[in-house]
Amino acid sequence: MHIPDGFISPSTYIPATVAAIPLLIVAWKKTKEAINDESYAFLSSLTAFSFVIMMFNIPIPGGTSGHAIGAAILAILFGPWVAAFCLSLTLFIQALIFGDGGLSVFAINSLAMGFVASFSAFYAHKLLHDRVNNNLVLFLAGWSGIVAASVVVAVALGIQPLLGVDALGHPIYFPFGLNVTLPAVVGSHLLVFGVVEGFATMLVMGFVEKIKNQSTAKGATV
Amino acid sequence: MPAKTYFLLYIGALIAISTLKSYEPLLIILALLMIMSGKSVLSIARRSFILVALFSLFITLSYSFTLYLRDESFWHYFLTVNLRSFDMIFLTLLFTSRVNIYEAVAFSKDLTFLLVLSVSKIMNMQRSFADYTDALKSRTLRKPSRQEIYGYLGSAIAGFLDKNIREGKENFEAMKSRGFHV
Repeated sequence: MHIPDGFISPSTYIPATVAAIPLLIVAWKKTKEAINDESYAFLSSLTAFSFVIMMFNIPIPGGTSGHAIGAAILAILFGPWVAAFCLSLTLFIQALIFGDGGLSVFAINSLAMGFVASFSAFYAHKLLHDRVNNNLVLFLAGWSGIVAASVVVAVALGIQPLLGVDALGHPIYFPFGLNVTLPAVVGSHLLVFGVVEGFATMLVMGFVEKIKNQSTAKGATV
Repeated sequence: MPAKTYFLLYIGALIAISTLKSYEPLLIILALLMIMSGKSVLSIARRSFILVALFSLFITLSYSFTLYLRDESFWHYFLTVNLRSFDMIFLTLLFTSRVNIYEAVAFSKDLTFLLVLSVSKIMNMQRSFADYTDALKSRTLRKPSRQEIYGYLGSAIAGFLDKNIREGKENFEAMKSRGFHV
């Protein structure tokens, strides 16, 4: 879902950066408050985790596969601000050190995959928790987070033909309008990548629960 | 010149390149960047090409094809967008290969420290991930069922989460014992 450099006009990424900076400062402060003393070591661990989760290719029914971003997992376990901050830091490292994503569009990627994905997943989980089957809640949290993020990406890409055209009226940044980006980007996330994220959330949280229960049981016998 | 100044110049150059709307100045900029990159020109160009090809070529080729079908000129669009993307990625890779990034973004001591720790952990995780997948491949004799794949993925990702949290605690203790207080 990463938008690369060169496809977004400055009239989009500059306001997005202005909007993202205060959010990142708040996320940084809230993250430090949330994890107290061990913050630096712990935060770097979560950042490395959100990087490594993107390396796992997850097959889904239907013969296709994709990678998760782990927004729902981090948001459910550590809260949406921590998740948003860790994912944003991962995106920053990917853009600057690995050349993946692009620094000019970092703010848009951070707003979409960091903030929107984490908060959507967190509130979807909070809303549905204890109302339906736990696996379904986890799946929906992961799925809704990434689908919400894809809407932001689709809109950011889809408005480019309106913002940047050459002398002949041809688009000069991302060429396709909202009529193409919404079905293509959001559709693929509704049907494929959302399912991947949902599965990943369900599998990992299921495993985390299992480990938790085992340690509780062990603690009880001791 | 201090790394922070280079970083600000890099950001300025990135914004300037992103505003260009025709390929001629982008070609001149590319030539300048290639001269500046010296001996590493081929490795940076190769990496930039791979990164551009992943997204840019797919999008620009499909749009150029629609222009071609409408009997409109597509070269201007195709060259401009791909060159702009290529120049921006080339500039980023050149910047990261020449400037100490940690010094460049050292606007806050806390964040710089966090960045250094995170990058070193990411490098470790990449190695662990490669070892893990190699070990799994060498131990897999038959094609696993979908259920087995899900079981493996759930335990592997949760295992990495557990490893990260455990290492985070160890790092914190190590930092504390060396007098680093946060």
